[in-house]
Amino acid sequence: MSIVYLLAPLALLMAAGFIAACLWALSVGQFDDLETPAQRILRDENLMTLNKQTKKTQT
Amino acid sequence: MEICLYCQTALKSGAQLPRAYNDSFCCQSCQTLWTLSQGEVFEFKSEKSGSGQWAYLDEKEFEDNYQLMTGRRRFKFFIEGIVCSSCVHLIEDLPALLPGVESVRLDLSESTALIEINSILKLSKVAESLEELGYKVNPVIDQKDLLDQQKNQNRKSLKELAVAGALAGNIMLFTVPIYAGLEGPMALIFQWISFFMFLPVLIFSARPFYVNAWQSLQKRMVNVDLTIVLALVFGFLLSFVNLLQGRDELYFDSTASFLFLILASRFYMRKIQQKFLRRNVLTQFFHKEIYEVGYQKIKKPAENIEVNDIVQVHAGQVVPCDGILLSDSASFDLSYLTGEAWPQIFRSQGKIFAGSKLIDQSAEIKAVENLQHSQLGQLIKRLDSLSSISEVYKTETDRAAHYLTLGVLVTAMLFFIVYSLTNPVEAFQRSLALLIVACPCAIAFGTPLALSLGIKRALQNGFFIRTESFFERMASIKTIILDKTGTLTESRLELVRTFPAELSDDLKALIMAAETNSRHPVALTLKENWAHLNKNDDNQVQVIDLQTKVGFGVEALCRLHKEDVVVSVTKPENPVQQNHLMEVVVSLNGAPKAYLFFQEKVREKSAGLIEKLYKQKMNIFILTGDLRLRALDFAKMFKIPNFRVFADQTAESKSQIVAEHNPCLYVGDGFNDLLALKKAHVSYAIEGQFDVTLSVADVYAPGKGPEGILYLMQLSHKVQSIIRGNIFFALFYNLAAGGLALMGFMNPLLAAVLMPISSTMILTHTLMRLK
Repeated sequence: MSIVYLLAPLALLMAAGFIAACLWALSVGQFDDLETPAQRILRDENLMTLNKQTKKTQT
Repeated sequence: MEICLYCQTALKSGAQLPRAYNDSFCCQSCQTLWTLSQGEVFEFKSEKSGSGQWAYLDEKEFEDNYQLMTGRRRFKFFIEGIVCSSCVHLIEDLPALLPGVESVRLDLSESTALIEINSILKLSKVAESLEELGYKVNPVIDQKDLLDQQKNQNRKSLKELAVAGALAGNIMLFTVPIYAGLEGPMALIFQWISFFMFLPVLIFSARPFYVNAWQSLQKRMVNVDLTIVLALVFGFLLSFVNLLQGRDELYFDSTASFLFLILASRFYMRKIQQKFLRRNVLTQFFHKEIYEVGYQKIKKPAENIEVNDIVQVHAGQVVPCDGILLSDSASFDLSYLTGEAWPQIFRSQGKIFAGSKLIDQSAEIKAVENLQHSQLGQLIKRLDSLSSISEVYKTETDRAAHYLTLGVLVTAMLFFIVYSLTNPVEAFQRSLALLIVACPCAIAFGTPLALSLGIKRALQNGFFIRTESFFERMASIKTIILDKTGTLTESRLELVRTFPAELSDDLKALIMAAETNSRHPVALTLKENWAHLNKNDDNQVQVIDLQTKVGFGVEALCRLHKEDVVVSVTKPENPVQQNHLMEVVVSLNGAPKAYLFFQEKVREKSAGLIEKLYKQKMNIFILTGDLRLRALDFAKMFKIPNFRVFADQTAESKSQIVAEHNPCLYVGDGFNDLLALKKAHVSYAIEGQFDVTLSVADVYAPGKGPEGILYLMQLSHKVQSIIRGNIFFALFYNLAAGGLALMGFMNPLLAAVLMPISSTMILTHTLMRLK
């Protein structure tokens, strides 16, 4: 059971680490906008380059 | 279910903006992106940049004021009309479409875009392009405003929530072994760990409760937060004392998790409400209008117009200041201000108020008061000060919390006094245990959850509800006051009949020709009714000369079938008949040829709605700025007795009548009814500028019409019944748990089991019934 004397502080340290990370992320604004980044990742990059290319070939 | 051809999201009518574009897409962006994906090329059409309504963006003064960082051309725009992820792509890909745009970053949570452009591109071009893509844009002046406050507040709440959640979970981990039978020095260590982990919850996470409890004490009210603070502080003290004395009665785990649940539900509710908090009400009213000022014709937005400026107002524009008319005469549509559908004529030197809409070609107005100090500005300012008063409204929940809390406190005190005669230590223990378990969690988080789910449900159906106390007020309504113009009627005219009954196509064509340039409601109705004539080649009319005579009508010299005719469409000097109808007379070469009769177009569903409301035993009143005769005639259609019709009202007197009939529901539009909407116990706006209307009315549902009342009633009754169910459950739970506590059966394990169970019960009850 004496392993608990090591595990308990470790567990507390991990909890503290995660809380600190969360508070840091909050203060630099990572949770300010939860909607846009989620949409941004779906973006279809090809369309715009396609638009540019076709424009060039036409002119 | 229909889905959008490009982004595959379900097409729903309601919460979205009106769909003027192709029906297979959810928004214009999707349509644009779809055409791109088909290999077509996209280019902005407008080449005129710098000449339109956005010209003022290019003035140096503007750039200096609106720049977010000196030296870099970075601006913030408020963007309306974002529907799906395609909008995000299209707007953020603006650099690819419009050379000169360096970067665009969209923030959906506050509906703004941060746009940086190079030194060559004109800012007006950016605004124009965004408009062409189908969005409403408005530059935002600085960051140190509401949006920033909101952001900081959200961050703070999330931090409190995060700390409470993480620590509650960890405390639980260290408490479970003790419940399982851990004893000895290890148990003591675990208990001390729980104690230290509870400290941040007590000091940091619970801060908002201390503030609220203190505020309510100052108002001599007992609110839910006070109970929470009591439970928290006493729970902590009792546990701490027990810990020092080596006893097992520790409540750290249950108190922390309970606090976390409350914080979470409140955060959720605020998030939903923030979606409606919009900024800068007054400038939004004049949103896009740019005016020409002075003889140099400097272009200025409405809020920059100063006293003594000479403003040139064009047809269809809204007057941006209180002022004096300099032109000979002009007619204005005052429906924004008074609700009167028929335009009014002003002579030179007449006083014009901000918010009037010009109908004639153009007029010159000398500003007497700027927008801020105009009557309209004062009105909106007054609405703001009124809104802070109505927030004090005490809900049923507040009252329930008040009595429940007082009851618990008094019981605990009495019990302590009586029982301390026999056993003071046990008396203290038990009465504190009562305070801890009897905290009304149903009210603390069940109610906000039910309310926010209700608001969300309404939003999905296209109803924007601003205040959470709406449901309770709505559910208690017995009196309904309906605005006539624009609410029961559509805000346009209907051609009732003509005299003679049949008009020849030639005559119609002549009338249409004379009305070519007119924005008068009569002209608009005729253009709609006789639209087919334009396609007909037989009677092409050539307009040679056209004159709009103010207060008189239009007169035109036309050529039809190679013959010259003078056509005039005017208001007759001696009305022929039917005094409740509006009439115009058409003359050819001075001789009357025909009479046209108009009335306001009644909404199709109005009659059915009133019938249904009568079935629910509602008292119905009609309120209008219109003539009494017309109003009575109108009321007869809906079987509304004469004494329940108020005609000839102004915006001011409307609000008085509403105030006299409170508590009532007022249904109107967001133009001339703003004051009445504000004064009503409950208000529902069916039309109006989004921001202004929602800052005044409790509910705003564009495009839903007055029949939305029925839906709102049904939803309100449902939400109220859920909240009452929760409160009854809380009462029952408190009696049971409180009884156990006083009898000495309450121990930490039981508290740790009972509290989550009661919370889960309330969660499931609320979710099940509103899903």
